[in-house]
Amino acid sequence: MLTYKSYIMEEIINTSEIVQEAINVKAYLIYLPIALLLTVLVASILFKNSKIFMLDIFHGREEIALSTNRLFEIGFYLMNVGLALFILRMKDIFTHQEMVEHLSLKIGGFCVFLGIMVFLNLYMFFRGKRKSSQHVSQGNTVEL
Amino acid sequence: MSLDYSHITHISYIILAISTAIYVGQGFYRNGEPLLYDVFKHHPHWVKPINNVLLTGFYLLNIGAIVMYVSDGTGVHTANAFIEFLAIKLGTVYVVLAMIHFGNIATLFYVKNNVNL
Repeated sequence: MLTYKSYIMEEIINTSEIVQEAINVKAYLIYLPIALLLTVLVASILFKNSKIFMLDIFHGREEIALSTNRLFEIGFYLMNVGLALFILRMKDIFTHQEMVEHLSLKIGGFCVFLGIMVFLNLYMFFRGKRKSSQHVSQGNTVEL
Repeated sequence: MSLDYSHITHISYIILAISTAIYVGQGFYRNGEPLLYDVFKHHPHWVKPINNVLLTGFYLLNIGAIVMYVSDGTGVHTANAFIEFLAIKLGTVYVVLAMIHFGNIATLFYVKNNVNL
């Protein structure tokens, strides 16, 4: 009698878990497009404006400047898409309120990381500019 | 029934991951050539071999990691687990590859500025 009751309880728990677990996929399907869209947006802004830096670092040689820019852009995409995927996994979500909270954590954290990457890239560009002007024999004034 | 589902996930994973690998590899190969020509200004005949070796290394790492993780995905039977599996495996591969890529570029700039070729 006792085992029959516990069997019924197990069935109820299992079926209700299967109905509730599906919301995880919804959260993933909301998080992924937002994260990828953000990456594409930030990358297009950053690398559209870094072409000037590249032209400056390579002293006006257009081909190498644009291709190095593209190289950095692909690397940027690789790293950020990889990280967005890596942090995708979320705990089992059972209510929509929990979903919003977990989503806000992931998307917010990813935005902060994107911001850090942008500033890191800017630092790299400025450093490249400084290094390249050090190797020029005439003195160059830094134009802002 | 469950066998068909896991076959579809394996095949779609391999196609997706390897096509991105080839796309990114070709992007690095084509866009890295002018930079290599600049670094090895006095040895232009070094550029194509070095580029090819780098491309081969990239393909080995990328496609090797992808295929290695296929065996890991045998327990994947729900859409939830499939998305998580794809995300974590592809994510680690891409982050490691990006770090190696930026390391390569840093090495090239170091060679350009500090080494007499």
